Amino acid sequence: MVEEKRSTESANIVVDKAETKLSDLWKLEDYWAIWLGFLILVVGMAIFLPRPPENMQENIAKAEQAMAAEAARAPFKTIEWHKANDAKGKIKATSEGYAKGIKNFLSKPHGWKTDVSQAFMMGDEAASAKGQNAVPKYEAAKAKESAALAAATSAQAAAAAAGFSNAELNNTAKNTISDWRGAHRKASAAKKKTKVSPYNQIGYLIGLCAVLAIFFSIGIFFMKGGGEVAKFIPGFIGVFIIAVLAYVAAGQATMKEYGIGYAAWAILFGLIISNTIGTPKWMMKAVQTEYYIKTGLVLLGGEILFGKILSIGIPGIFVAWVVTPIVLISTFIFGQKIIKMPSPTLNMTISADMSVCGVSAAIATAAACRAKKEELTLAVGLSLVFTSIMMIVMPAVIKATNMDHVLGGAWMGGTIDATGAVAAAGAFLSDRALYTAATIKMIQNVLIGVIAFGVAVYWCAKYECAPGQKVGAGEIWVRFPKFVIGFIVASIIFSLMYGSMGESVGTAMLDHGVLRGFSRNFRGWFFCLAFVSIGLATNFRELGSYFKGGKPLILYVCGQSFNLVLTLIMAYIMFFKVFPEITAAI
Amino acid sequence: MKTMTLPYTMAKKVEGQPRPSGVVKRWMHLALWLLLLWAFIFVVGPIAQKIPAVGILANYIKESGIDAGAIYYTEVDEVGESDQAIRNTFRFYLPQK
Repeated sequence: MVEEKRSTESANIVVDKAETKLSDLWKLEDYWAIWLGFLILVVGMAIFLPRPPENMQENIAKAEQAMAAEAARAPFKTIEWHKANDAKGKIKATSEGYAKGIKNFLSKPHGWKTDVSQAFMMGDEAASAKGQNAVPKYEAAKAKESAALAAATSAQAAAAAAGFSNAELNNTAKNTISDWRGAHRKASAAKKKTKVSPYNQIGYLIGLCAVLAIFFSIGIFFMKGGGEVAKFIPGFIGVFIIAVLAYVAAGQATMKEYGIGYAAWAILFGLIISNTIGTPKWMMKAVQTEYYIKTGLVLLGGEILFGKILSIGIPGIFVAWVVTPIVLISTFIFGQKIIKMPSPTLNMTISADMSVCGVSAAIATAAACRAKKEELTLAVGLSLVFTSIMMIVMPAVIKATNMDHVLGGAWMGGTIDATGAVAAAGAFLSDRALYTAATIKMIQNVLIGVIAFGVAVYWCAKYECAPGQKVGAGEIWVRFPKFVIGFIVASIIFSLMYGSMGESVGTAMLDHGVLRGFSRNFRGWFFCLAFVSIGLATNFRELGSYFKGGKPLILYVCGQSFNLVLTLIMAYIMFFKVFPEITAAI
Repeated sequence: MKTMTLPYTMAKKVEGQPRPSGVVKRWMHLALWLLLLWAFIFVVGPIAQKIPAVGILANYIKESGIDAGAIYYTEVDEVGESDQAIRNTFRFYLPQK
């Protein structure tokens, strides 16, 4: 009965063929997602790893020696400590010339405010004028930074004169240094806006479209034959153009300020086209949602570095890795038993995107439990709406209640869905809030790997069985979404490499090299193509039927409320009762 | 109107008996949606920023250049910065942890 149900829905969900053959290796898109994903990761490693920044080891050692000396001198992070930390942060492969060339080629359209042509090109004069317009703000920010630095230097000197043994002077110095860091952040951002270079992205976008069309055609050729490639390529160009438009809309200044990213626009543009003029048949050949998503997820696996989970010590583990699974499982059970969600896959996708990290968790979990496209769309939509609301409301609540920024940061990091929104809300409060919020969120991001694997196994072994049926290892293997193996293997390989290189070199060469400089750009495009495809294949009415009774909304609100309460309690216990010294050091 | 020039799904609908009014209606729906999106981006969005809590954060995001729409930590520079700062804090100030 289960198989029958699955077969009737197979056109609409991510399903593997229920048998295993050697030819699966070149006939199934799950395997092609693995081959293509690893091709990108291997090329990325071949480009970046042999080309480290000049004197990387020496410069890292120099910065670390300076930080160690300052830590031995003062009980708080001094001005010199922060400068050494900044210098260390600049040592990364993505700062190299070749990496900038790659970035230009893979770049999405640029930001714009009212003139949409600026998404694609900007001439010398316009660039120069834009840069000049930003100079007064930079000058003002620079002056504030200088004043803040002078105050911090004076306060630090007073604390040093007392041998760093006067708690009040130390505290004053710590606070003035914190103010300087805030001013420094603003001045750095303002400086970036004065450096506007002319650009023309159109040529790069055409080149990227051609490269991606050929890239995905390789899999199409082996899976469906040469004839299909000829039909796939024109359709791909159409899907790619809509993906570009989604990035253009996401780059509009006001939309950027609301954090409405490409995922929402890609789905929306696809939906509008398919539900008004209709998706053209020639384009439907390239509406390959699962193919793009699975390839993107294999690349995402490389970004899941397990070494990151200890970044903020045990408190981070408890807030991100203990609370999150509890909330996920509780919400799923609540959805099944109390709300009685009509679709368990919708329930799981919403539970994961709400409790883990929004869109990226929704994509990974939906693919792992074979959720329908409409279910993923609904989960992503809910997450985006609540992310925008929480990004605005939570910093306001933290300010109004005078909550400590480490506690507030941990609270936001554990509850706001999207990583970018967490960083914005945290930085809006202070550096302490940003550091805590962003690090907690990053640890939670890494949890995606475990969640996706766990959901895939659970769905194969338990959920897709008839009552009382026991499933053997062989059957689990047949049912298991194979791309998850690529996703996990990529994560393990990159985590091992990161660990063996050491944190400092791993960050410079892998995190800020192969991943941020190469694979994540491809992954962003693949997810965007997938969301466009979802929109192009979705009917408004069908989508509406999943929302009937408002159950998904009730599930999200109840789950998120539980998440907010549990995360706050856990963060308070960890950062104030069990490890107050960590809070003091941050 | 020639069906040859129409997208497939539209052409399918008008096969045999062309229904230009239906075709026009679909394109008008598209135009209406685009108008709504335009209004959302250029009218509703800026107006909502007049709410103090919204406007202050929106202005901060604009000035800081943080990508608030990013979906994963590798897409946000500030997360890398935070990771490094926290790690170095632990390493040099809390070596026992």
